Amino acid sequence: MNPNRTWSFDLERALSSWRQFMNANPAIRPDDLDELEAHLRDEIDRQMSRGMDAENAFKTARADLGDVAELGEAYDAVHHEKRFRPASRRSEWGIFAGMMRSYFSHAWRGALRHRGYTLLNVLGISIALASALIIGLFIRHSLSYDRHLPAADRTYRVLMHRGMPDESTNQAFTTVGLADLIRSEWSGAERVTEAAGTRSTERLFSVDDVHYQIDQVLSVDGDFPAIFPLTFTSGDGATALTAPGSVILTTSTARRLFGSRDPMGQTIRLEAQSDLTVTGIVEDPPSSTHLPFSVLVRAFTEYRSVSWNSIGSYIFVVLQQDAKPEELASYLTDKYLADSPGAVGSYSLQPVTDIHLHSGATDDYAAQGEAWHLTLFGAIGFLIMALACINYVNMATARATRRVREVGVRKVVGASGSQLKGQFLLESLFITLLSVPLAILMAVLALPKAGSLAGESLSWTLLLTPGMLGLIVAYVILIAFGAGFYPAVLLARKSAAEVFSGSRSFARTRVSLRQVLVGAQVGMAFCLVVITLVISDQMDLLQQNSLGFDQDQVVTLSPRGWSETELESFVDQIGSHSSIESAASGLPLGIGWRFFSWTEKRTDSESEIQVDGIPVGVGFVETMGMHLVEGRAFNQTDLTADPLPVIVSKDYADALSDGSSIVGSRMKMGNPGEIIGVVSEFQNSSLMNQKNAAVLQLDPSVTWSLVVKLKAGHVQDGISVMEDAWKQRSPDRPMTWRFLDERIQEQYVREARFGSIFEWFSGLSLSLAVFGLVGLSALSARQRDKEIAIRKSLGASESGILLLLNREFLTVVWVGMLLSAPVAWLYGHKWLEGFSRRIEIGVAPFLWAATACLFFVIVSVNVQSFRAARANPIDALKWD
Amino acid sequence: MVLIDCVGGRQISHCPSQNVMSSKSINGASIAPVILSILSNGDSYGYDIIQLVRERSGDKIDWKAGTLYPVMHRMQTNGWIEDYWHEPEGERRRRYYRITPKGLKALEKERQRWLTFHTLLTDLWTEAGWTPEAAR
Repeated sequence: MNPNRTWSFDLERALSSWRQFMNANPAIRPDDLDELEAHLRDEIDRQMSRGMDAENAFKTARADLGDVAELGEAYDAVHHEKRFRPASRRSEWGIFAGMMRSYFSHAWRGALRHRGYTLLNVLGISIALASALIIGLFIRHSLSYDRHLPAADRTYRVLMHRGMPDESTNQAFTTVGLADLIRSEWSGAERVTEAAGTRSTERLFSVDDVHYQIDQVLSVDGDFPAIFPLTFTSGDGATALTAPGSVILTTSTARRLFGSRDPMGQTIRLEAQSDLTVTGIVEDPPSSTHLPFSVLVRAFTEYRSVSWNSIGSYIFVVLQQDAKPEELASYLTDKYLADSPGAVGSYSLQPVTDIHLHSGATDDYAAQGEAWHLTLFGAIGFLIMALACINYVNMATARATRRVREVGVRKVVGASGSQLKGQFLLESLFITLLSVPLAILMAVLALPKAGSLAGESLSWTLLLTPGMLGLIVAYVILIAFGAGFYPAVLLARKSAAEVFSGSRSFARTRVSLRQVLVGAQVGMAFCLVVITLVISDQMDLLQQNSLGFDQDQVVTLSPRGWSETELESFVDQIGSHSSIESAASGLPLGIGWRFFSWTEKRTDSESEIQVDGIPVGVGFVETMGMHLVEGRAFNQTDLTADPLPVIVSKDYADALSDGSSIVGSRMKMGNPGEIIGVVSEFQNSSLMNQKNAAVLQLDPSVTWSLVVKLKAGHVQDGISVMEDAWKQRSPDRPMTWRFLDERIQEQYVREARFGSIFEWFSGLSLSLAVFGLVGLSALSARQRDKEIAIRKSLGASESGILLLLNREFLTVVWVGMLLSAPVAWLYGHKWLEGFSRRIEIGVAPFLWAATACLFFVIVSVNVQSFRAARANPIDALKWD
Repeated sequence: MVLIDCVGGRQISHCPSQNVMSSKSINGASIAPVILSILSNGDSYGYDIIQLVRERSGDKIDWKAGTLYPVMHRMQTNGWIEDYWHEPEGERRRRYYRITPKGLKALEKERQRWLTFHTLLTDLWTEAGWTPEAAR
């Protein structure tokens, strides 16, 4: 007692302020409060009759009543529980329905009372559910490729394997004329069709002298629609592709070319050369086909005889019910080997439904998916759901202390452990169900973005299919159970007596589990962040200017039908302009283009090198900024040499050198041209591929590919100079040009998208971990408010308190990150293996990711902890 | 919990075999029958019940108000007891509880159960030669 106290304790005032305080709890009704007050007064009377003073008697009596919040929960539990009638008077179902109603209304009130945690949980679960839905949709879509074909299980694509006796080379572009061979000579085929084209190649279409560059143009034969069904909106499906020169447009292409006019019977000019007649309009092909098209052109030429050495068609076969793909494969192989003595190679058949995910072939019509991405994304979807479940588990167990009395009361008045388990599981189900509409909304809003990231067109209408609805139900059950199971078991296990004997020990002992889960969460997020950083480092490497030539300011042009003189005069004309550094004919470097590819033995060993033969014109070495190591570049007089001279790359020169300089010697392969120079090694294909040695072959006949180096800062001038010169030679064709560096980067579109997908995944998992930490640290700080208050009263500083609260999380976070680091390294490494030139995974991504994760952890923990540490200890202690 | 489950007239199939009763759960399980027993001797109010239990148990059982009142409310919803407000001469107004016929029935069932156990345990202990004196 403080002897200097100047005020005296007023019992009535204390009681009325106590009443006011209790009144704030809606679960305690007025008559309950009257009863509690009478009880309190009785106890005060008793204490005072024992000689205690009023103030202490009041405090003792009040402490005896128990914590206000817990009291409220206990009251709440009984008031809202419907009375159970004996089983005989109600059907089993009635009891069940009554229980459900009661549990759900209880869950609803619980959700409202703890809005903050409900919000964190609902938000977390919605995000997880939405991500899982999108991932599910993506996986489903990927697996559905080409399954819509009428005989999908009997449809195959012919693959060609050349140069190796085994099937180590897979070419999808295969022998021209094969379809006709199979059709006329092999009896097991029901349908065969031959198609040619590449998705990204733009072709020039002209309608009334208006030009359009259109990609996804397929050149097909008349049997195409029998294997790849078309839905005609105009035209006759049976005859639309019979006549060479017929063309079928998709509705979107028809709208683009003809607007509102009727395109049927109209003439379209292809490549300013041949006239096509529109014979049909079909609906756009489904997005789940490996062979999407915007225009189908009936091929002009009929390949009546197979020509084993011309390559360039896709062959699709529908086998008869009893025919085996191996039979056709060996028939083709035998035929090929019989027709081409000394050849090495074979043919095989690939199920059409395997093309999207397991193509494994070069020269696919379009870039296809990868099966391991599906597994990876599926795993990440589960990971994100696990993060949300962990949040729920952590917050639920942290709140368990406050619910202990509710459990006790329920048990005393007759709830069995399994009923309680059911009730707590229903609570998690309730929260999960609350999240479903939000999750669907999020998924629908995010789908377009997610689709473009995945390189697929995903439509929200896919969400409404029975399969996806089933998936939603499965996810809901999974999340509700994953989140609710442990808290339910934990809470239901407590016996009433433990509660009433005031034991709260379990809240303490479970802290370690919560810490483990937090550590796991941050570990998962850390792992994803590290992989994201590794991907972004690798992408940076790909953007670097170290390919062995200078791709900056280089523009590529593709003239059609120019003569050598036309090309030469074009180069001269633009080359003299001040905005243009230099120009030359030749294939652009860095995008894998080459005329020939061959292997040559090294002089000093048995091993071989792969060589790309690249046809170029005079001035090419200068235009591409290549570095001459030895000898000289091409000049005009070289054009008169026979055979034409070549320049080789440094790695070629090293491999073939016999000690003396290779300059001046002649090529051993093909035409024995003189080697007049050596340039530094360069990367001609994408960095996903091996770097080959290269031979630049002087070849003035390549008039269809040009490279032009523009002067920095004069791009616009340069382009218009080129356009003027172009119009003089090809007035009926618009000039199309591309920057070389863009074309090089396009090879990594899929990798770049992979990177952005990981950015999203790491962002999502980090934010889920943050949600969990905010909620958990709030609960933890509140649970420990008295401890904090006492520590502060005893002189602990705010920073000391903060350290205390942070310590609970920081250790496990470190451990979590340490344990997940090898996983991150492993996956990062696996991804990098796809590149021939790749970064080494150093410590930097780990350090950065750790810094980022720690930053988020510290911020989210301290939003709450700071408040707890700053709080006036009186507020926490005044009622005790 | 086992006992209570069966007393309420609700037959839960796995009830008897649910779990081995621990000495701790006896406390929880006994709350309702103790309250019913007290009320069967005459109406009473919460504070009085707590005092009575504390006295009679030799201070061994000390129920908290925050536990007792919700339990009593729940018993009320079960129809075992009913309440009324009453202000005896010279005392303060309090909420009194009275046992209902249904509560009496529940108590009878409870009594049978506890007696069964009591008899069983007494028998076993007598056989083992344990007496209350020996226990001390």
